[in-house]
Amino acid sequence: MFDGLSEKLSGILDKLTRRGALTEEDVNAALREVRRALIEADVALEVVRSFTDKVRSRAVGAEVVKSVTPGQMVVKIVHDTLVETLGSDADPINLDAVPPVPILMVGLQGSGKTTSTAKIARRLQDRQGRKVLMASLDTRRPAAMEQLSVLGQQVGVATLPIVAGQNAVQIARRALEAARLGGFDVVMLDTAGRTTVDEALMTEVAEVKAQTQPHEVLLVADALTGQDAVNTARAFDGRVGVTGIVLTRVDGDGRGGAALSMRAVTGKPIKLVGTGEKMDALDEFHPARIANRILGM
Amino acid sequence: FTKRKLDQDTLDGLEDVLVQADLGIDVATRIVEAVGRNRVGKDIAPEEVKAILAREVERALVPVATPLVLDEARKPFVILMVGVNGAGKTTTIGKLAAKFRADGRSVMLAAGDTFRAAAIDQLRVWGERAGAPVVTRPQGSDAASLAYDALTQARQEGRDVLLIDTAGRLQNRNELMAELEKVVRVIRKVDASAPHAVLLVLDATVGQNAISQVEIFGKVAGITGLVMTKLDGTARGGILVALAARFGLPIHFIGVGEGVDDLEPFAAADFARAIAGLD
Ligand SMILES: Nc1nc2c(ncn2[C@@H]2O[C@H](COP(=O)(O)OP(=O)(O)OP(=O)(O)O)[C@@H](O)[C@H]2O)c(=O)[nH]1
Ligand SMILES: Nc1nc2c(ncn2[C@@H]2O[C@H](COP(=O)(O)OP(=O)(O)OP(=O)(O)O)[C@@H](O)[C@H]2O)c(=O)[nH]1
Ligand SMILES: [K+]
Ligand SMILES: [Mg+2]
Ligand SMILES: [Mg+2]
Repeated sequence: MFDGLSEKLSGILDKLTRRGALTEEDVNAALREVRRALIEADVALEVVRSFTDKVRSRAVGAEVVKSVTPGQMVVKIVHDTLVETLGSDADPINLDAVPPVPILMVGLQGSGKTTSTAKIARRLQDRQGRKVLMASLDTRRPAAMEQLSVLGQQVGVATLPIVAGQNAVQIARRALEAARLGGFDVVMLDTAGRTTVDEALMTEVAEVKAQTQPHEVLLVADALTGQDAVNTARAFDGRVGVTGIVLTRVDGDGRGGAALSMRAVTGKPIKLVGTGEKMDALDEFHPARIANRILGM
Repeated sequence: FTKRKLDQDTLDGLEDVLVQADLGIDVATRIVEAVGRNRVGKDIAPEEVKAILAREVERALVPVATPLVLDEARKPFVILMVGVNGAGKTTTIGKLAAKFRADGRSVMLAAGDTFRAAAIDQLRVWGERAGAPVVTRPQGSDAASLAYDALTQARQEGRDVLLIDTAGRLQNRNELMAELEKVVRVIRKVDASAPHAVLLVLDATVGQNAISQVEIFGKVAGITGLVMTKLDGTARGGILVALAARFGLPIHFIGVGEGVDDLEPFAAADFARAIAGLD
């Protein structure tokens, strides 16, 4: 696909007689193809727009050096701008607070919150030597709490004992208390999936946040998400103040435009990516890899 | 309504609406062209433009808005649920089981997701809600032999419907797709005509990747129809329009919540209106 875009841009630009710098007209022709490629990669339309504006202002007047063709030149500008927008540095989970440090996991139904909770807990425990407690605040999905507890056993991380009849806020308070008493460094709060238009559930998660003052609020989102990524990211960020994004199912063959969309509208870093169902399938985020993927490289 | 001449700007705006609903650029362009055909330059009220847009989307969906028919001659009628991780397979099985039970059928569930933590417990809860027994094997067991056993048992017990759950899998993971292929193969050893329906479950938030999902799950498991979940959220699920054009597979149901009754037959007109931004 990237080859496709590369070829198209070359087709459009390289037949122009080489001039010193790219003109607005050249660039506009190229940007129509860029727009198309980004939409095909599931980048949200509004993000496509602001992105192509940025690329336009960089590309117009750019000097085409001898070693490259105008088409390649624009591709390079697009790629570099993508990497930059996605966030240039790996941004680790911040635990710089008084223990037990609460981390709140939020997101739509089925995005991968529970799985990612256990993966992150495992990593903090095994790689950074932190003592981690996990708690499921999901009182809704059948067997959600059992799921987290099975995963806890698999990765050797403690889970808060299940007590029937408590609501999410009560469980969260109990988790913090247990973490304090048990000398835990980190307490991870897995929440039920919710749609952002479910007012009752959005209020609930806001209440959990207010009561627990999490140091990190991680939005867990599916890399296969289409245009809705912007709505989801904005709504969760607006209600609970997201501090970072965990992008799941990066092991799929989706083009991953959701990463750019969510990053662009929230300005929040993508901290980790899920690369499989297994507990070690968690990676640092590499902007260049996602940029290549969005461009189909 | 105040009428206005239909111009390119308006049409571009319509294209944006469709792109933002995940129809993809090609299908969006095609539909907007149909809206503009013989109408550009004519006086049309803005509300009417949206209605025309909805009608064009509906036209693409009508041929695939087909109910799921249970062939009474097949006993049990075997339904295999497939899809990527977290799409809503297990939940949809629970909802379907409750619906078939309400229609007076005897239903059995097979906990074919022997991989994911607590997937079996999750289906068990749905079985209780729906009043359907659930055939299980311990986590880590072979999914294909579980399916074999469940079908054999459902046959012996004279069940009307057997719903088989499967683990979520991404379509580009060859080893997992081979495992699914094996499930289908083994089911056929018991009943050569089964599975009688293979439903691919799609999450409404999914983007263009759904095309590859349909393609590959279709090849590996022979999907016969689609279900789209989570339409109670903000996602419009417009990829179904692109899928309809490309594959023509029936769309049977939509999921509109997490409750047992939150399953509706797919209705082309309603779906199209929501995509066009009406209602
Ligand atoms: N392939 C793949 N599957 C994943 C990844 N992360 C999670 N999953 C799978 O996605 C499915 C849903 O994951 P969960 O962790 O249950 O998602 P959730 O957000 O907790 O779901 P709810 O609590 O129901 O909202 C499971 O089948 C997981 O195994 C990933 O990075 N790659
Ligand atoms: N809002 C909403 N949530 C849904 C709908 N259908 C399923 N869900 C939720 O989506 C999440 C995932 O559903 P599951 O049925 O576990 O999905 P699955 O495809 O079986 O997942 P895996 O087995 O892990 O691959 C759960 O939290 C469900 O409650 C729906 O129509 N609307
Ligand atoms: K999804
Ligand atoms: Mg969960
Ligand atoms: Mg399931």
